[in-house]
Amino acid sequence: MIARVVTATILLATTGCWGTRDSYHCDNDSDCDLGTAGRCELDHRCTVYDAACATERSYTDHSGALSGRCFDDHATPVNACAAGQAPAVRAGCFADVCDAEPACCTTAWSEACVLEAQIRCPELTCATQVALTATKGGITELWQLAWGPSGWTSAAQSGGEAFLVWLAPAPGTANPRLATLRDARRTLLVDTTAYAVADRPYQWLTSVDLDRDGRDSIALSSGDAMSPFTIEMIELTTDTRRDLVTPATQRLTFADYDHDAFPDAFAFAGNNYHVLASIGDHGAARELAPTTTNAIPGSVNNNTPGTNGVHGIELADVDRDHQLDLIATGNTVRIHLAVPRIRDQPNLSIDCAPPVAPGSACDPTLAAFASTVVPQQASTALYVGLFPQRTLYRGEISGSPPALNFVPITVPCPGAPGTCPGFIGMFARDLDGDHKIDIVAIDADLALVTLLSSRNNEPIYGKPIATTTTGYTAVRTSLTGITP
Amino acid sequence: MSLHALCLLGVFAFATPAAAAPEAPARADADDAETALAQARDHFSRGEFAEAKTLLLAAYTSSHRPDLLFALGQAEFNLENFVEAIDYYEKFLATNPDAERAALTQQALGAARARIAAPKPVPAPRTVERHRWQPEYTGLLVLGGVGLALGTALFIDGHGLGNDESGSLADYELRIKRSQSEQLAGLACTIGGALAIGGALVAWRVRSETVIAPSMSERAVGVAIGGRW
Repeated sequence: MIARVVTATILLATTGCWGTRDSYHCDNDSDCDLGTAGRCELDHRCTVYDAACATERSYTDHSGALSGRCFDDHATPVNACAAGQAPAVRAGCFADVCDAEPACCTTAWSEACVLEAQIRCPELTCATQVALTATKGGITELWQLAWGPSGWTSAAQSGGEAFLVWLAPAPGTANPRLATLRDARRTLLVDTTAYAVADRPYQWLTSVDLDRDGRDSIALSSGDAMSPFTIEMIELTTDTRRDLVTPATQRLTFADYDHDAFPDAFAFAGNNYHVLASIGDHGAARELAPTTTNAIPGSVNNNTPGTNGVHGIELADVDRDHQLDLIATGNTVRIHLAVPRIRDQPNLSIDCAPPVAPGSACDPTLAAFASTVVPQQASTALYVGLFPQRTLYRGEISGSPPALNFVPITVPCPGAPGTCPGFIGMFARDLDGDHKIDIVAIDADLALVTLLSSRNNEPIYGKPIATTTTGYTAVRTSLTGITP
Repeated sequence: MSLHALCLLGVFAFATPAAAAPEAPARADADDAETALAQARDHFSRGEFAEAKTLLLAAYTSSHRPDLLFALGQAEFNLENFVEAIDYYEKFLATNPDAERAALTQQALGAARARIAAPKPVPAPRTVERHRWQPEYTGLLVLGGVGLALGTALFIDGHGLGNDESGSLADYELRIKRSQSEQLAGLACTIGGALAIGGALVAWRVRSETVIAPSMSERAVGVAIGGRW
């Protein structure tokens, strides 16, 4: 009997069944003071730098069952219609999405992932919402658009300043959040939550998990000719912030440029568009390093008044090689293919009216462009809208190296011919739920021309959403969707 | 008739005074023999057969009285020297005693021969060891109790340390190591205390007897060792 008791006690001792949990929970990063670059995660466990992990982090000892495991920020999107979320778990139709665009499961759930999901997920239905920021000189108007059975509905957002943006749902939630500035740009309003911000010339706002820590993070960009270009990283839950100084902040967007599983930044300033690679020094908070710079001529005839050479940046898989490519649009359309890193120099440059490759027999100073990439099941189309000519083109991408052959699309104009302005913005989404991507072109009067795939992509003219101002020079759109 | 009774009877029956010895030296020897015989009887009655044998041998050497041969046989018999006893008995019979004495001698002779033929008696089992409560058991109990108490205290304190998540991760790791050390020490103390108490209780409550039982027969010799707890 005694021998049995002693044996049982020794077994308890050797198997660690003491009742001690060996489970530590942290409250902040300073609690995690073992290993390199300790960080307290949302689950109150400590992680440290670990180069062997995709997120470059693993859980420390004393993290219960997670001890030694790689930190994993993957999550099944609660609302797959909203970009800016954590990389998806490869399951269900999201596996198909990630087969098409691996970055959706390795880096982040971006707008390109939403489009792929709309094509490949039969159960996914998105009620498309658009936050629109239109500018003309010193005028900035903010509009909220919604697509419904009867078409677009719009509502002006009074009181907002600088931009109107849809942010991703907070982690684990489904509802996207509308954000703008108020109080002479001193308050950032996210839905109903106000965050005090510095007095800066703010440019843009987007959801991004730069550090892959699974937190509710945004990048608020600012800067102009008189103020330094700054990206302010804000973690909304704890309102912790850090500033990143960069050479450009306009139309700030994120994608994985170098395939290190961390999102890199893309932005433009004036005539230059930049790749700002995310770099991490052994687990330290990541920085953005200027990596490549390209320019689009700004001094051209018939340019959109008051604008520079670059108008917009998009990341999409142009050549269907499962890598996101860079498309910079302005007075020229530049396409940088990923091989797998996005090339420093463009593979394709599109200019002229009708659009052709530069150097062809045309006047390259005739047009400015808006564009959007439209993924299809096995191919991709590039739609471009011209300014000042009111013309749309559908480009089919084929061949290797890829070539573009454009087909003009006749666009209705309710007034006399030549009285309708050209296009300054475009975006793509599946509006009508047929799992094919539709296109929306926005002209300078903020009239929406919608091309529904279910209607054979026949342009449908919509009246200008703005009734008092015409001749806008730039429009920025922020898309999201609500799942029923 | 028991051997002892036979012995005394024999000594008294045979050792009568030699009335038919008239000469003076013979008389003196007879007196010596009587004295030795009387002393031998005393030794017989006390079971001191070796002393009796010595006296009888001395008397016989000096007197050569035939009746002393029977007494010597009885002494050897009681000393379990049965061969020698038979020798004395036969020598006595060779002196042609009277019928009554011859019958008694034959009876003694038969007894001696029977004892030679009989198997050797087996020694009775002998208890070698028996534990009883000892003062050191009390010491063991006290020591064990202290060990159990200390072990429990260390274990509880170590357990508390391991579940204390205050401070940083480094603090926690230090506490975990200390917790493990304390719990191991607590375990050791608890086991030691339990063993001490258990040992004391076993020694006290359980009778420990070791029995050694030798056996012997014409064909084999063995020793059986057994115990009971």
